[in-house]
Amino acid sequence: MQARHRYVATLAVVAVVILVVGFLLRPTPPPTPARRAPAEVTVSHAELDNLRDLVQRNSLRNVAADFSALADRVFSQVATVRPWGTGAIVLPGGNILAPKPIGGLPHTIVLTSGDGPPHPLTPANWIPGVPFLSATVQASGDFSPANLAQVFPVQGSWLLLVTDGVNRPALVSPGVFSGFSEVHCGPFLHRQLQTTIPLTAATIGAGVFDLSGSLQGIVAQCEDSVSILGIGDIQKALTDANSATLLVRYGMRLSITPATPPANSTSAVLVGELWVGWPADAAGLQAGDALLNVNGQNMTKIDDVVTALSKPDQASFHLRVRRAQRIFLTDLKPVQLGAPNAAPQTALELEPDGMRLQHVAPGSSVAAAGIRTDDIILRVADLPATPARVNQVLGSYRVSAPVSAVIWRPGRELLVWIQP
Amino acid sequence: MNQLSSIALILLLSLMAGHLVKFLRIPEVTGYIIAGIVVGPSVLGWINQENLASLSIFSEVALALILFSIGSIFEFRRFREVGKLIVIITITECTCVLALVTGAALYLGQRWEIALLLGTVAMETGAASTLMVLREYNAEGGLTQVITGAIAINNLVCLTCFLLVTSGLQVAGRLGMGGGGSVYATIYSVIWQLIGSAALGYLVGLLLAAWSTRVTEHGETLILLIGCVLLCAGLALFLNLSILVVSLVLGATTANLSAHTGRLAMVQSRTDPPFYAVFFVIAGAHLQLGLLKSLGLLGLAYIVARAIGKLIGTYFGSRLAKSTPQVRRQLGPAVLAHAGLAIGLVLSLARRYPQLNAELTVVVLGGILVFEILGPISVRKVILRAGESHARVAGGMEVLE
Repeated sequence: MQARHRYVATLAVVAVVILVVGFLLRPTPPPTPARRAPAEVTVSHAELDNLRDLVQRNSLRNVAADFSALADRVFSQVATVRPWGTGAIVLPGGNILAPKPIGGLPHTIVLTSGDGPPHPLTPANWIPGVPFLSATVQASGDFSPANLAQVFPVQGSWLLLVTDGVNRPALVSPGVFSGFSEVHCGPFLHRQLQTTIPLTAATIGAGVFDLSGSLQGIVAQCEDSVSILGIGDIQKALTDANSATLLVRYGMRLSITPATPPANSTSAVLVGELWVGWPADAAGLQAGDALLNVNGQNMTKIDDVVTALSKPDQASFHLRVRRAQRIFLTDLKPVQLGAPNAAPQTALELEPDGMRLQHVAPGSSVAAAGIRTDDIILRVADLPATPARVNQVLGSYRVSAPVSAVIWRPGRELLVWIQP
Repeated sequence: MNQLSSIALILLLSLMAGHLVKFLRIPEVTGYIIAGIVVGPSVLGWINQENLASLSIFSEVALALILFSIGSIFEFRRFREVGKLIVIITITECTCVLALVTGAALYLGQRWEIALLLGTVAMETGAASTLMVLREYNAEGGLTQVITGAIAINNLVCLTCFLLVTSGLQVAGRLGMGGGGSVYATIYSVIWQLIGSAALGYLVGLLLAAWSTRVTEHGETLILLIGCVLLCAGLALFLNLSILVVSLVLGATTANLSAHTGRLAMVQSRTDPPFYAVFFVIAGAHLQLGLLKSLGLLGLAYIVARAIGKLIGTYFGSRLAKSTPQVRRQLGPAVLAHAGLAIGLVLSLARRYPQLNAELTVVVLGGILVFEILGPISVRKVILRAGESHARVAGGMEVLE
């Protein structure tokens, strides 16, 4: 019994020593710098570690106050789109970005924000292949435009997901940004923000904001998964896709107005690229021409031109065009989709679900470069090949400038130059 | 809903669920968990995230009480009989689960560090739900003893492996930024969590054992017990120690040093049901049904590989340890439950290393959802089949089911 007591006491002394020594030897956390102003996007690692510890020990309770202050600030930038209920972001300039509804675009769209009055929109411009639709709202005090991110957050920064929806309370969910990955959304390769924010179908349309309250991304459905697409890429994809709709109807791509338009002129939309033998070429247009007016309506934005020229039931459009100092009128006739032999033959055809060439038109610049049926296209113009990119860059009989392509032919990889 | 009414709702609901499951012949724990899922944010939303956060203190106390009672398996006399057997079985079982789950994840193209972490977390056996089923059926006997011991050792092995694996990956720089701190801090945290926790548990256990000789009344014993368990949990939080290890060692120390272990256990078993009810309803409310949809192939592989690993591992482990045929056949289904520690581990991973694959959390939490519903049912079957259930009927007479 005596011996047992001695063991117990010795163990107790050892335990006390372990606790005291362990406590004294604990690693010192790095000194916490003074709190940064929220306007700065970056958060120091030490601050992050403190936050993580807080979250770990006290669940989200203690940091919730910080986030809810930010959420209040950015919540007004998220509008509700009826009837499908997902959030929408109002961009500076009055455009809204909303993710595509599942099951098709409704006939009428109503946008609301906070307690403001509902704001009806004309059916929005829905571009095939892009998971977003963009529409213009009248400049109105009801909607606060989102503050667009100028810089992407550094890894480890906190981001906040904010959404609104019909019959659903606001959803505010913080998470840590951990990097980018690329994701295919329709024909476009997007940069996707990787975060710890849980994404579900209910979060589609939510805005993802950084600690300065700037919009960093929007949650959208990409193929079968839900991702946060970086805001810069969304706008680029919309512009690309807008032009692409004209490319397949007219063989014409638009570019934006140069920063300083020539004197004595209003801003205009320029023709960026033309496919030889297509309607825009036939109408006498050239790259660099400014489109001033379509069917009597003045055009100042790419979206306006795309909307005007996308009307399906019109056989011909009257254009007013400026080239250098000369202004002339011309008629543009779209390709009659579905009409036999109406569309000019493209230089190549891809297999429906791959990059293998099903057909190469004899006499085209692609054929002249030595590309054959059954070749597989890997890269075009130094970019990974996607069906849309291959059709855009190599689809016309003649390219406007030399283009490189990497093809795979059983057994070897070849670099070819396609000459105009 | 405010805190008091949500606790009231939880208690009454769990009682109702307890009545209901009697008809369905499933354990009360499963009823509590299902009731939690129903009132939680994923179905009715009567209890929201805010309520859950404010009730987390109950979970901590209940978990500490559960582990305290598991710790008593380490009573020297009892452990000497079954200790070697349990250790061999548990280590074989853990190795099998680790190998199968890691292999399955690697086969499905996961990065090796993710696969290894999945394997480590999959080892864990849900202590709380299994123990609750054993208590509900008043299980006693050889198999029950092996199950309890296997769970205690399993949780220790799992926690140790997890600490070693994350520290190894952290030191090797495979987890990227986020862990924060140097190699020293990483190694310190492993040692501190294991040895520091054991030291604290021992000291408080000593206090409990010594003081328990001075108290005789039921009420006083209860105050002493709850006070010591709370002291452990509180000090563990303050000192950044593992509540799991502290409470296990507290239980073990008390069982070995106190002459009044029986009284303490009796007092505890009469007092803690409300804590457990709240604990399991909260645990259920935390489970998100929506996860099941997004589990995918990896989730399925995790569930299947873990189940096979547990069954094969316990079978071969029992053969290796030359245990009775009963243990060999029936231990596997009794250690399928998966919760508590695994949730804590995977959430701590997700918080400390946000850049790790988000699938890891989804897969583990989805797996827990499945095993936490099926596990207790499986334990009940095993106990009934082994004839170790001594359910009490209303008149206080004991009947053998």
